[in-house]
Amino acid sequence: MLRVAAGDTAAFAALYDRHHRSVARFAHRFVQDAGKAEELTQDIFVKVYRHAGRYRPQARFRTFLFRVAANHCLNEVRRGEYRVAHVSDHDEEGRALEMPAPEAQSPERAVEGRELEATVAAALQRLSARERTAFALCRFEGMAYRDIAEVLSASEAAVKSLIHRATLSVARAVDAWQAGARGPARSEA
Amino acid sequence: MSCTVEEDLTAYVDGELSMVEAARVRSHLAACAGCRLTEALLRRTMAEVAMLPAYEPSPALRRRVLAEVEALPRPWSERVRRWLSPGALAPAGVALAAAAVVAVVVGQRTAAERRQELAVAENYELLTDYELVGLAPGDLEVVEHLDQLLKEGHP
Repeated sequence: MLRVAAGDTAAFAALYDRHHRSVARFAHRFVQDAGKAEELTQDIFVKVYRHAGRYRPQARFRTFLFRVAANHCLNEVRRGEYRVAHVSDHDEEGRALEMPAPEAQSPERAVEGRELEATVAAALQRLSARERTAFALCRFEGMAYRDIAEVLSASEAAVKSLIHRATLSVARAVDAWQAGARGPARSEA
Repeated sequence: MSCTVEEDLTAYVDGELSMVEAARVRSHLAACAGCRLTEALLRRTMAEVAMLPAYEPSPALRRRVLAEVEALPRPWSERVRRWLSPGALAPAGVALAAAAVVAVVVGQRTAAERRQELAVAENYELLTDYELVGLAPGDLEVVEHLDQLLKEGHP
């Protein structure tokens, strides 16, 4: 990172290769749209390059990176630059999103996976931006509450509360979907 | 749900509570069926969410990001580093050394010329008296001490 701060673009490319999937995944969970997620990811990495001088080696780089990412996503959504998209299984070019290769699972499992994905995405849309951020960092990036607190400039107690509310909300949505989708199927079997 | 530990259930499942807090939640769960149901729901959901496939960004994104970064103005530290790199420094050093040699040679010639001009100016009167032209530096010394030499030659 110190080399990036000195303008070393090769070091920056290595940093990008290592972390871009996490950032893009986070941005995608945030806006639920592939094109917007890539725009946000691009902005976030350019910001990291431009502000690399502010990074202090005693801070964990991943925390610094997600602090930039979360602030950028929260600001852009706040400014109205991005609206959380309606959940779709396909991008603008008709490419299937977020789904594993069809041959990896049975058609029933593939449909169920897409429905679960849509249910989770819809539940995330109903959360506040901070709840969504805390949930995404915890559930999809595996970050500890302490690190999420640092990313959000919040106390650990506040993060615990954000994550609990978000997880419970998603859990109830998934439970309701399962009760509706799987219940009748089970009774038919 | 009105249990006091309900707020702690997610952190409990995530392993984010202290040993004391976790023991308190465990003890409560043993006695509360409602919280056990919530805990099971949370665990099931966390497992299912963890299984969701991850979004994969396009390879074109890498090209766009690196192109935008390459187009940004370089920080001063990087510019100085580039100037001081061996690739940039070697030709500059050769040019600098060549310039120094030229300066020394030109400087020496100029100094010699200036010394000769000063000597001519200082001895201008003698030069006109003796109608000497095309003097070499050694001749000036002779001219300068001509009177003395004449005296020594003809006591």
